[in-house]
Amino acid sequence: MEPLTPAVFHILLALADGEKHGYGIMLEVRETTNGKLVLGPGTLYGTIQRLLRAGLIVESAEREGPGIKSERRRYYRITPQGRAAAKAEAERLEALVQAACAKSLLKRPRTVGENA
Amino acid sequence: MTISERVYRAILSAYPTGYRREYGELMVQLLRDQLRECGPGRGRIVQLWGRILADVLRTIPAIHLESLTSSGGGMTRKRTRVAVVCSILFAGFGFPLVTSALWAVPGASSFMHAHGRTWPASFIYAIAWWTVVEWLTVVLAVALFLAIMQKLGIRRLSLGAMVAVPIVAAGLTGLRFLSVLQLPLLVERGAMILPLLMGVASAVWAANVGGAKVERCGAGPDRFANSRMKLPKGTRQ
Repeated sequence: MEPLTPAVFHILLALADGEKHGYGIMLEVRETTNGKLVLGPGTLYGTIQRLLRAGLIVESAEREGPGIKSERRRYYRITPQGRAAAKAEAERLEALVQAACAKSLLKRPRTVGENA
Repeated sequence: MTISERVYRAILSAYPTGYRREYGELMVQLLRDQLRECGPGRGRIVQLWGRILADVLRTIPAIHLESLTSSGGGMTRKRTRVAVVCSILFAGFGFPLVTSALWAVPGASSFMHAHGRTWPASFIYAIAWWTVVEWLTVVLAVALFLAIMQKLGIRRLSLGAMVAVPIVAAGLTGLRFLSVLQLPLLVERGAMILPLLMGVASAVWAANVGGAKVERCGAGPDRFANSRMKLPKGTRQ
């Protein structure tokens, strides 16, 4: 499988834990990347269009957002294919991190519970 | 409606019609959200606009190209890509033919000599990178032609023409080599019909086979609605 583009991977990642609208996706991506990746409207909806065509995400019913009552929002949800593509990409990245660790470029990533 | 929103709505008109219809309002909504987040601070709004303009410059050509090349079906997409590549090749093959034809127009050379030293004629005719200007003109003409055809919804015709024109141009270029071979005049003249026949045949093929599939797959303005047909069963709302 070919590597996913950063925008595609981040959008799939943002939708992995539940459906979100465009602004919600943008906020989540910005938070995940510590502000290093801010998706503009063109990039966000251009990528969403490609993901919809590829069947990796689907549109949910349009409804009002939780904070802003007056505006209706279109929500997006990840499909099983989308989840599989995101998982494959995450595994690919994990393998790269392990390779970097083996060559002492990175310290071994701490697993959950190791801090305690 | 704020000034930022008005400006952004004007910029949105540069996106393909179908894309704008489907995502235009959502993009404006996203801009509104970001403006709300910026607050009244002018510096943050300028910063946001810097990002927005970079996004616009990056995505407009990409989405236009995508709307030209993607149409749902693998074969159709391939054919459309071939047609786009052919039209670019035409820009390379075709312009020397166009130039030589221009020089053949009665009175053209005397016009060039008379106006060669004045501007803008000197800019167009006398400068060494004249061919670059020609090339760009042809590329822009092809792009404009495609844009108009897409606007009018005449995709079949544009697809047919895009395939036919470079074939005719390449055929005519090939005919130049026939004169080197010193073939009988009848054969040489008869051969001139070949590129035209090939052009017509390829145009009919592209318009009927490629164009029909493009339309059936929903490459027209409502292609976004049709694209959802490909989603897996049970996932559609």
